[in-house]
Amino acid sequence: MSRDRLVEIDCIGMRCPIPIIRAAKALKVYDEILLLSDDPATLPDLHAWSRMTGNSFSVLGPTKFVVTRFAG
Amino acid sequence: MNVNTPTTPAATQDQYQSGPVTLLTLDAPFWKPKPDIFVLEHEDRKKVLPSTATRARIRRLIRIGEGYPGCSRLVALRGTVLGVGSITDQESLPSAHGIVNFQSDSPLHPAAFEFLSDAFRQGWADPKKGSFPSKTTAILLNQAKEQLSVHLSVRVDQLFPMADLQAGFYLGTMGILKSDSVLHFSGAARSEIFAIGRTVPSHILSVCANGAVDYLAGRPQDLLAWQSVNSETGVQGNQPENFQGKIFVDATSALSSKNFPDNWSTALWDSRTWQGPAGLVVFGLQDDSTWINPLPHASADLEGYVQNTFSIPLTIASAIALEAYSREAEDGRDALLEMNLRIRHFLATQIGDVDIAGDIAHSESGLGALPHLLTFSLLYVDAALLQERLESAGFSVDSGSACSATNMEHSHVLAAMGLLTHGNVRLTLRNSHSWEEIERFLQILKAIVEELRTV
Repeated sequence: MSRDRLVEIDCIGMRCPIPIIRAAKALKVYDEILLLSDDPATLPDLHAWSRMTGNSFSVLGPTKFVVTRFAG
Repeated sequence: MNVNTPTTPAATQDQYQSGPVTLLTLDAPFWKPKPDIFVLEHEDRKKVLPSTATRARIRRLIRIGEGYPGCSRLVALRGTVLGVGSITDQESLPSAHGIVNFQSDSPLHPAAFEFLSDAFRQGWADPKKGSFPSKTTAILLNQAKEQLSVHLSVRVDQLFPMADLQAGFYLGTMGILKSDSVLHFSGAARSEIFAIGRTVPSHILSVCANGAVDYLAGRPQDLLAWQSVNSETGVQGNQPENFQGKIFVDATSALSSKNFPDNWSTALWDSRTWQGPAGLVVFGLQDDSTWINPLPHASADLEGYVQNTFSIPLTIASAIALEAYSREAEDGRDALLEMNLRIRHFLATQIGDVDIAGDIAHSESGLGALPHLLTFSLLYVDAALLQERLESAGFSVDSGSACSATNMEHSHVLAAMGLLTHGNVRLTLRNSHSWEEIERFLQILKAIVEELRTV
């Protein structure tokens, strides 16, 4: 799926750990999602979460992250 | 003790920041039971702290009833924290509500508490004068400084009791920095160091997942703010062997100078670390050849500068607390290590999806985490909810997660170490904790985490 058609998980205004929980839930259905989050804890938590789960992510902007399910 | 009808004094309510505050006035005289002040945390999770003016108005002992409508949970602050001169017996506060305290705050050490009134009775005079009370005070102060010197492993003439922690950080760093210096500090440094770093040329050092800092060589005129023990993770600082500049040691979570780099210049200890009184820190000055007082001062030497700025009775109490606490820490080290390892093993095998800070395997060799602190983060768990449930079940814990912080900011220490910042729990283990309490805590923690995890 191209990135401009990714399923969007909008967590703007939500605090930890909701963005990570919603991203994890969405990855049960989709291989890749666009996570919107303005919580400052999201970026460090995405790093830790990726290390712990094997999932990965890339940063598109201060509040935009593409999160990809571990393919293994 | 009977609890009167709940009242909400208007004058008091005005001083609070959020919502109505209901105070339960106990019918005991203020001076009879040792006063505790409990502060409500409301459903909107704003912690409510009384201002100084409000505290002055509180003439009677105030205690908020547990489970009282309108409050989600209790935040208990000891008298020492609020600085109203009211200090609670070590056992009375946790047992008053059946709470097992894993928080870093602790009441004044009983050994110090026992001597506190004597210290105030005998150590009130100006030690520089020649009267009998002054000489008595001088003797007591010298004894206290010698006690501090022995346990902190620093020469007595290099130790200076002070009252202000913030000023201690400022004196320790700005007194050495020159106009062409760069301040080096780790991403896991205390916020006071970050605040100073924003005012001078500085370099933030990266931190590994195990807490080890990646030091640069620097230049001879540079200053490194080196942390002896991290207050959030208990991780001991690795040696900055190649650093060429001067070193300020943040020892505010340390009990001695034993793991300091040999060439340290200035250092700062916090009396609360050894269950001493709040409002008392100890400043260390090993290298006075390059240190210049950065604050306006009338007296050129540091001893003259700090004179009359700190409480001598509290210094005496602090020295007594340090002596007792150090002995207990040494005696109980193996037991704490065993407890720490047990909790780590349980978290990894029985709960899972947990990020544990630091490695405890090498703590005795001066590396890794100390056994009395344990920080871990539970994936997909709301730390504020977890704290509330644990509190209801009888356990008080700290957390570095944003949702449980008063400023709603996550712990920069966890983030710097690359650890999960949500679902964070910080335990302070003490010799007073029993195995039964540890096992009960673990089973309850497991049940709550299973309930809260929704992924």
